[in-house]
Amino acid sequence: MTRFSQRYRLTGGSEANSVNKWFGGGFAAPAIGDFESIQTVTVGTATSTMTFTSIPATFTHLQIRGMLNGTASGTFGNARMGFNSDSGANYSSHNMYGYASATGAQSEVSGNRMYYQVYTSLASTSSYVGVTVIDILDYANTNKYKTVRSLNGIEFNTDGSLRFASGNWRNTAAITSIEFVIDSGNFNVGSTLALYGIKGA
Amino acid sequence: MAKTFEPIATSTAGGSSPTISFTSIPATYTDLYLVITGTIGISDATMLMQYNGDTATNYSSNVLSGNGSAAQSFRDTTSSTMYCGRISTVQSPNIIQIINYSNTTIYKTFVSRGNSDTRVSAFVGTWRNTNAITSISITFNGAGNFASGTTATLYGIKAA
Repeated sequence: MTRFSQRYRLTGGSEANSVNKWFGGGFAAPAIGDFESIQTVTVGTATSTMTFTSIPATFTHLQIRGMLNGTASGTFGNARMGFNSDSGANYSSHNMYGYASATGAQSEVSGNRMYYQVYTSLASTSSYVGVTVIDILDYANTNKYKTVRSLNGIEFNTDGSLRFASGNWRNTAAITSIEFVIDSGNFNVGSTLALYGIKGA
Repeated sequence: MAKTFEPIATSTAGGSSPTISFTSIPATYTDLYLVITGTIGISDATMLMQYNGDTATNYSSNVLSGNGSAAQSFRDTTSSTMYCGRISTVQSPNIIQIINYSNTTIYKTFVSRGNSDTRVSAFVGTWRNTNAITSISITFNGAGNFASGTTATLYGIKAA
């Protein structure tokens, strides 16, 4: 499992599995504003899990934007998203999808992590990526179960899909970490997820 | 110091062109976020997008739509454009999100949402090219021009 603190990230190539300081290592601190970059996870060595840790409670909402590629055989697959290392049956998920000429809707209740929020390309489509934009609303509000929505898709000419998805974590704790666990194989080198914070007034 | 989310350029249609373009897009951001609101003279057209002036059949896209009574989906393959949004005779909002647009190891994929007065849609599209995106061209599949006052604003989102 690959974990990243707020101030470090894994780097690829010859520096795989090394850490570079964001500040003082050639990276400028992000500007302070209403939409801020919090952390970025980039896979340097193939791994089954990508994790954001030590998420501050200083924002109102979170957004995750990224692209994912997997090592397993096949064309495209899925990964699951969990919070605060909770892998209990505390998640539910829904989606509506378009797949070539087919449409459909799916759900999963009592899942051990949230489903449908990301696609991954796989070994036979390694130049392609699944992309996602995930909104996590009121992530630090301790009076609410946490709700997520996303728009995610993958398209590689001969196949692909897109979907609207939602999810719920039946827990009122503030979200302090987020992990993505791929269904099969590993996330490939170069897969990247960026976490942003959105402030309220 | 670059901001996390900032405008790059805005294009406002004058009513005499069927195309909206952005050129000289810097590679200094992580994602692009394009907001288009406006009208055309015909009802419920699909907007089409190309990158870097590439008019070859290097694009594909998949569209999911609802028209008030049914959900529909279709894929457009080996195409010279990508379906990316909707526009009509009434104001039509669209947000196109191009993920890792300057990453030169992957084919470029976007997701978007676009609505017209008769349809709500989502889109995913891929350009089978690893070049960084430096220009974007948007048009629509019908006759006429973008109406005067149609606006397109391109933002850059920068990850830490």
